Amino acid sequence: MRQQHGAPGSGKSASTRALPRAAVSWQEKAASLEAEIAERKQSEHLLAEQNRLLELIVSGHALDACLTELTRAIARLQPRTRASVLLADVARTRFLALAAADIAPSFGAGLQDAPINELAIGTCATAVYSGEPIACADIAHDERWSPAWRDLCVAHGILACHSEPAIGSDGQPLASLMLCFDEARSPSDWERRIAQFGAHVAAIVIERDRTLSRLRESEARLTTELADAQRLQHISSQLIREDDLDALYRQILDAAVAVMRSDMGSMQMLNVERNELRLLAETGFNPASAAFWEWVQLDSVTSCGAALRTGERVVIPDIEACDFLTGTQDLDFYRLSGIRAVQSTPLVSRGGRVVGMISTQWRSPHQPAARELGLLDVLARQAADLIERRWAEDALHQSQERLRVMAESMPQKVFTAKPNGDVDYFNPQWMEFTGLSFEQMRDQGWAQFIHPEDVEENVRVWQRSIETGEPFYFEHRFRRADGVYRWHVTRAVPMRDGEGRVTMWIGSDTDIDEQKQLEARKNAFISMTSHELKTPVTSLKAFTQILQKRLKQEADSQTQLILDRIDAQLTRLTSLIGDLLDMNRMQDGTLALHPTRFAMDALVRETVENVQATTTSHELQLEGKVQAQVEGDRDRLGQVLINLLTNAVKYSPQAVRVIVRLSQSRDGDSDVAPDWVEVAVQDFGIGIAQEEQERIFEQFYQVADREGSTFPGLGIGLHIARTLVERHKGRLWLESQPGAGSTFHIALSVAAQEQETSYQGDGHVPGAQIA
Amino acid sequence: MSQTGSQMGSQTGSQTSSPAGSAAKTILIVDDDPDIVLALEVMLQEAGYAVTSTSDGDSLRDLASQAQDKLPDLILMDMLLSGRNGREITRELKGQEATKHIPILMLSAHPAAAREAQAAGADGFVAKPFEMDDLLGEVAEYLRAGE
Repeated sequence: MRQQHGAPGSGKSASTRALPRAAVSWQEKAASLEAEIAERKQSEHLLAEQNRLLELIVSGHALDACLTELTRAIARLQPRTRASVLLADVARTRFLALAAADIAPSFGAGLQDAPINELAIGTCATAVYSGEPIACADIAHDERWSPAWRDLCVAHGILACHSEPAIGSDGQPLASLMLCFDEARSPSDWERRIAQFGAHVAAIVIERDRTLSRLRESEARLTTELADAQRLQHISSQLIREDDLDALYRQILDAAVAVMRSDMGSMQMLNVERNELRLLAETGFNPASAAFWEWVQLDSVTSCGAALRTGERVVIPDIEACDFLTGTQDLDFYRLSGIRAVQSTPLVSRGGRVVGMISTQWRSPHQPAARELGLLDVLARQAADLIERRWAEDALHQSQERLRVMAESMPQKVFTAKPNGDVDYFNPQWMEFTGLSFEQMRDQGWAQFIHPEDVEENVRVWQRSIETGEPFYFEHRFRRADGVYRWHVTRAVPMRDGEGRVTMWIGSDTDIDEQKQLEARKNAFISMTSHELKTPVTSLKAFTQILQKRLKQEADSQTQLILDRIDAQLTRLTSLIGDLLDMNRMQDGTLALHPTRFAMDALVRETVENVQATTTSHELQLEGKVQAQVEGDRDRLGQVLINLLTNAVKYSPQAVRVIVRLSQSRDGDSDVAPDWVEVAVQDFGIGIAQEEQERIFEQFYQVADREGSTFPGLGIGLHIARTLVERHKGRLWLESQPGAGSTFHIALSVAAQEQETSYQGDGHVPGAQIA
Repeated sequence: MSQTGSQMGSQTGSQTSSPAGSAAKTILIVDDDPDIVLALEVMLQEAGYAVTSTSDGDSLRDLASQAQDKLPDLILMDMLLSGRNGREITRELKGQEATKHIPILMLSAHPAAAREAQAAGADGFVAKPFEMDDLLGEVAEYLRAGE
C-alpha cells in the first residue's frame, strides 16, 4: 500500500508545490514550465523504474538481485549519483549485507556487521537507528560519524551522502538506502525523492523476501514435524503389531535419534535386582564404547546415572563445560566414545516408576530444542510401556515356566483347560500313561481314554463346573496304553482374573487304582468277616436262649442271671457287627433305605422301651408328643435312636436318668403345619468339649474320659447315625457342656401329606400344641 | 410266645416227635453249620415239632419224588450252603408241583439277604443271629398259613 501512495504522491506534491510560484514573469513561467516538464519526465522515469523493479520483484528474483537492480535504477534516474542498500538484521542491531551495483565490494565488506546503535558509525546506522533520513554534506569533515566510516567513504569516492531508512509495514526500519555523491554537497529535493522512492522499493523487496523465507522456514519446519510425527505414528502402530521386542527397542531408538538430530543413541532398561541400567539397544557407538555402556550404575556421574537418581531428564549441551563431569573418569569415557553433548530422559512407567533410560549423544556441543524433547517424551512413554510389557511378559513367562517344571516333575497327571473347558495342556505323565501324542489327546479330547461307563457322568459334572466356575472333582477310570483301566481322581480348580472371570482351569489326576482296589478288598473283607462272625454268634445266642428257657423252669436265679448277661453281650456283639457292616456299606455305596410312612411318637416310645429293657442303671424319661408322621426307613431311624440312647447311658455312668424329648418346629411363619419333628436325647454325663463336638461324628473317633481312657466301642456309631439322618435329609447335632452332659438332637422333616387327615380323628390340630 | 406255647411238647432230642394232641408238624432244617442245626433242632423240638435236618443241599433233589406224607411241613433253609446255594434249591422246590406248597423260611447272616430270599421264592426270612422267640413266631405263622 505504502509504495503505491508514496511514489505517485511524491509526484503530486511536486506539482502542487509549483502553484505558489504562479503569477510571475514569463521567463519565470517558461522556466517554471520547463522545470515542470523536466520534473514530469523525471516522475515518468521514476514510475517506469518503479514498474520495472516491481516486475523484477514479482517475477521472483532473489533479494540481492532486486536490491542491486534498485541501485542501478537510481543511478539511471540521477546520473553522477551512486546508491547502495545496507540491510539490517531482524533485530536491527547490525548490518548484514550491502547491495550496490556501482560501488566496489570492499565498501560493503567494510560495513559488514557494523553495529546499529546510538554510537552512529555512519549515516546509514543513524538512519536505521532513528528511523529518520539523514544527510551528510561533507563526509570528510563531518565529525558526527566515525573516522573509520569517513575513511571508508572517502576511499570509495563518496564525499557526501544521504541515507533514507527503508521502513517496513510494521513501522520499523529494515535497511538504509544511501545516495552517494562524488562532491561535498547537500542532496536536492529530487534526490531526496529518489532516495524515498528507493527506500520504499527496498522495503517492499526486503519484506517480501523475509515473508518468503519465513514461509520457506515454516514449510521446512512443517515437513520436519510431519516426518517426526509419521515416525512416531509408525512406531505406535509397530508397538501394536510387532511382537519382537528387541526390534521395537531398535525402532524407538532410531526414531529418537532421528527426531533429536543426534549422532548416537542408546536405550537402557532398569535391572531391578542390581538397580543398574542395562543397555537394550544402541546406535552410532563403536563396539568398545558400547561395551563400556553395557551396565550403568546408580552412582555413575554420567547423564543417565544422574537422570536415574533424580527421575528427571538431564541435558549436557557440552560435556567439556559440565560441572559434575569435570575431572571424572566418565568424562574420559565420553571423550573416548566421541560424545560432546548428551541428553538422558528417564523412561517412566504409568505407575510413576523409572524403568529405563533413553539417551541421545552428539559429536559436537548441542542444545536440543524444546520441540524435539517433546517428541522424545512421546517415544520415552512408548519405550516405558514396552519395558513394562516385557517385565509383565517375563514375569508371566517365569511363572508359566515354574508351573510347567512343577507340572512335569510331579507324579500326578496335570492338565490345563481354557475357560470353555477345552484342554490345552497335558503334562508328559499323561502321554506316558495313555500312550497317545499330545496332539492326539488335545484334538480327540479326553473322553477317548475314559471308561465308557464313566464318560457320560464325567461330561455332565465337567460341564457343570465350566458353567458355574465351581471346582471339579470326579473319580473315573482312565485307559492306560496297555488297555487296562485304572481308577483316578481328578480335581480341577479355576484361575480367575482381577474381575473374577475364569481365565483357565488347572487340574490334576491322581492314580487311586490301588487305593480303590484296597478299599474294595477291605470292604469285601469286612463284609465277609462280619458274616463269619455272625455264624458263631447265631449258634451261641440260640444255645444261650435254650438254656435260659430251661433254667427258668428250674429257678436257679444266679445261673439265670449269668445267662441273661451272656445273651445281652451277644446282642451287643451282634449290634457291633451290624455297625461294622453298615459303615462298610455306606462306604461302598450299597446301603439302601426302605422308606415307609410312620408315626414318630410310636417309634420313639418303642425304642425307649426297648433300650430301657437293657438297662437297669438309668431311667429313660420320655417327654412330649408330636403326633406327626415321618417318611423314612423306620428300622434305620430306630437304629439311630438306639445309638443315641445307648450312648447317653454309656457316657453318663454316674447319672441315673436320660431325658428323651419330642417336639416340633416350623420354618418361617407358616402356621399351617409343623415342618420339623425333633427328638432330643439329653444325658447328664461327662459331656463333650467344644473342640470335639464335630469330631465325634467322624469315623473311628473315640471320646476319652477325664482320665484319658476311652470307652469301649468301634467309634463308628455316631458316624453311621449322622449319615443315616442326613440320608433322610434331616439333621443330627449336639449341645454339650463338659461335666454337665450332652443333648443330641435329631430333626426330621414332617411327611408332607395325609398328616392332617390321619390326625383329625383324635381331635388334635397339629401346631396347636406349639401355640 | 403265645402262638408257640400251645404247641410246646415235652419230648426232646429225637429225630421225630409228636406234639400233644395231633400229629406233630415236621420241619426240615437245611444248614451246613452243625451247631446251628443242633440249636434249631432243640428249639423246635422243645416247641413240639418233628425235626429233620441235613447239611447237604443236594440231598433235597429227591424230595419231590418222595411220598406226599414224607414231605416236611416247613423248611428252614440257610441261604449260603457250602455245596449248593440255598436260593437255587429254593427256586427248584418252588418250581416243582410236589414241593411248591411247602413254606420255606430262609435264614441268613447276610444283610441284603431278605430281598434275595424273596426273589428266590422263599416265603419268609429270618436274619441270623435271631431271637428264639422271633424264630418260633415265624415258624408258627407260616405253618398256620400253610394249613
